[in-house]
Order: sequence, then C-alpha cells, then structure tokens
Amino acid sequence: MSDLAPLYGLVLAGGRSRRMGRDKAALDYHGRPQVEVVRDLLTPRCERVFLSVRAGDAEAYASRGIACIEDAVEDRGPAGGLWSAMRAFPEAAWLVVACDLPFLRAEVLDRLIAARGPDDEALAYASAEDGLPEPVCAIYEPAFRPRLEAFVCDDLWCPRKMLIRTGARLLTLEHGNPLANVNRPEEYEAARQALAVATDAKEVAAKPLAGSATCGAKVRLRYYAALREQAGSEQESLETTASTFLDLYQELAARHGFRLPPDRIRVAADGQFVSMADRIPDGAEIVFIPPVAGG
Amino acid sequence: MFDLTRQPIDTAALRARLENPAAGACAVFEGVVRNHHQGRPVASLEYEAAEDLCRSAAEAMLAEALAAHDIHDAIVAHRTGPLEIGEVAVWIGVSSAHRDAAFAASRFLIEHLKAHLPIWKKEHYAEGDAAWIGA
Repeated sequence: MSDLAPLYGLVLAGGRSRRMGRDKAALDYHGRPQVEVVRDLLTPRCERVFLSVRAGDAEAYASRGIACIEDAVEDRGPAGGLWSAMRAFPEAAWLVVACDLPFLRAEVLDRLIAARGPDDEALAYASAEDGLPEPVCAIYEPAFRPRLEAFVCDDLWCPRKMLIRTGARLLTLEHGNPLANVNRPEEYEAARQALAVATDAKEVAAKPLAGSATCGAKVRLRYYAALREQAGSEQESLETTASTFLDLYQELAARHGFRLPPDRIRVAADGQFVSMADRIPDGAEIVFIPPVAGG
Repeated sequence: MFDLTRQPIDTAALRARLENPAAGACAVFEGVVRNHHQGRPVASLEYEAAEDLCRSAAEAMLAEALAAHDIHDAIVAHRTGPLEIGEVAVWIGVSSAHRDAAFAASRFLIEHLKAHLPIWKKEHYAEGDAAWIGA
C-alpha cells in the first residue's frame, strides 16, 4: 500500500441544493448536521479532510477550525470542487463524499479505501440502481488529474460521465443502497423516517447529545489482545453516558489504562464495523479493535 | 472459503479443494512463523482473533476478490493460538484459468487480511519478554 498517494478527504458542502430548497449539508439525519457526520467519517480514514465550499465561504468555517477548499470555478458541482482540490494538492488522492447520502456507512468507505490499487485513476461503486459509477462517494487518484483537466477543457463537468469515459474501476455495493441520495424535501422526510425505523429496530437510545440529564446506554464490551490484557478481562457489561464510541473508548482508557490513542483504534458494534464518531446504540455489543497483525 | 483454526493448517487438503479442470493456475501463499522480528530472536507466536467479526470480514473480503478478479475459487485459512517457528500461520490459495488473476487475487487477499481482519499477533522473544505487534 506504501506506493499509493496519501488519501485526503473532500466533503462536498458547496452545492446549491436547489431542489431541496435549503442547504443539504445542514440537514439532520443522525442528530446533527450531515456535513459533520461525513467529516467525522472521513477524519480517521484520511490524512487531511477539507470541506469543498463556494468561493467566499471558507472564512466562516476557518473561525471554527474547519479547513476548506473554495471553488476556483463557480457552480460546476462536484467536479468543480474536485478540480479545485486537485489544483490545491495535486499529489494527493481524494476521497470525495457528498452530504446527501444519509445511508452512507463507514464500511462502504472502508471497502473503497481497501480496494485502491496503484493502477487506478479513479475508483467508485457501481450504482445499485443503474450500475453506472457513483461519483460522489469515490476516490480520485493523482493520475486522474490530467483526465480532469482535459474534461474541463472540453467543458465537461458531469463527474459520472468523467468516470465512465475514464473507465474507472467499479466495486459492487452490498446490503441495499447505502448511496441512495436525497434531493427533495419529500425524499428527506422519507429518509429520516427510514433511518428512525432502523434506529428503533435496534432499540437505540434516542437521547439528546446536549441534554443535562442523560440516561446511560447499557453496553457489553469484548476485549482482545493488548486491550484484553490491559483491561484484565475478556468482557464486561456496563452503563455509560458516553454518546459516541470515541467518548466511550476514552472513558475506558482512563479506567483501564489503555495506552493506544483513539486514532489507532477501530470499533465494531453488533458485528459491524462502525465509525468511532457514531453514537452508541443501547444494548450494543462493542469490540474496540487495536491495530491488527494477522498473516 | 475462510477457516480460522487452532489446529495445524492442512495445506495439502486445502490445495486439493482448489482442484478444477478449468483452472490453469493455482497460486498459493503460505505465511510462516519466522524466528526473528526487527532484529530480535523470536521463540514462538500466538494469534488471537475476534472470531465472529473476523469470519464475516473474511467472507466479505473473499466475495470482493471473487468479484474483482477472474478467478474460480479462493481459500483463506488462518491459525489462532500458540504457534512454533516454521508453522504455517496463514494459507491462501487461488485457482483461476490464467496466472495473472491468481497472483493478483492472492496478493489482494494477503494484503487485505493483514490490514483489516481483526487478528492480533503476540511475539514471545527468546529473551523471555513478549509484545503485541502494532500495539
């Protein structure tokens, strides 16, 4: 993997959201603005993460410590954002993710990242609907940049067409359509309901993050390898007021003396890899995964 | 097929499972316990896995290899528990019509396994101390 370019993340937050009528990046599917959810998904997976924003918008984010890349060209959609990013950091590969994919899961990104190869110009998923490339959850390698420049010269700004003409390698989606996108108010409501139903089904404690009287989630932890030895047990059950897996890991690190920093830990809940930034479902069986060393 | 086992890996039996008259190639990778790590003499190893998570992640990895490469079949087996120097820790076999796909898929499988599967290795050094690799 060492011959691959460093992976940077680009969160597409500069869209006009015309059909939605309001900023899609600010929509709330998971208890906070989706732009934050996407940024937190990319942060542990990328060396640097930037928000792709419209010209003039970076300053407002900078005051909150959020790095942005402003569009160098107006109103050219995702390809305009990518073009601006590749001009700013031509040596990086870019994992580009939109904010209108509320069903996006961490493992979808992990599969994409794991599949990178030295010969790829771009790597994407085939759409669950039509089999064509999904351009806004995709990796664009530095080798894609000359293509992009040529497309731009021809005034072609459709990222899907770019991927088709490039012959980008496509992966097949598993388990439904995690890249279903949401463009209209009625789709937003339907997505929120679908996610709420999924949440209820897993009996997730729907507690407010900022609430003062938080009720704890009951969780079961299984420890392996170094964490097992440091915890002195293979498993434990406890009630926690931590809202995210990251918070819980830090709580447990303080209690058990875990020495690994959280950025070197992955986490799985109920048999699925999830993001450290995800909220903890009540009743979850959680495995914190120290650096692996199979083989 | 993925197997996680505390027993010695029967490499001949796994190889036999890949026999296929349409296969013109069979690439086999064996990861073997070696007696040194970063200049330190190693006496023995132990592997530990988060079993259920490891099995599901391995099945997804195999499905990806089968989807991405033009191969007939792929088998991955990994040991857990204590291992001595010279024992096979991981065995990967891929059968395909032509060699390129078998090489590429077996390379993908070992690299993906090492980077992602929840398996951990503890080295017991000749001096008597021990360490979890990466942790």
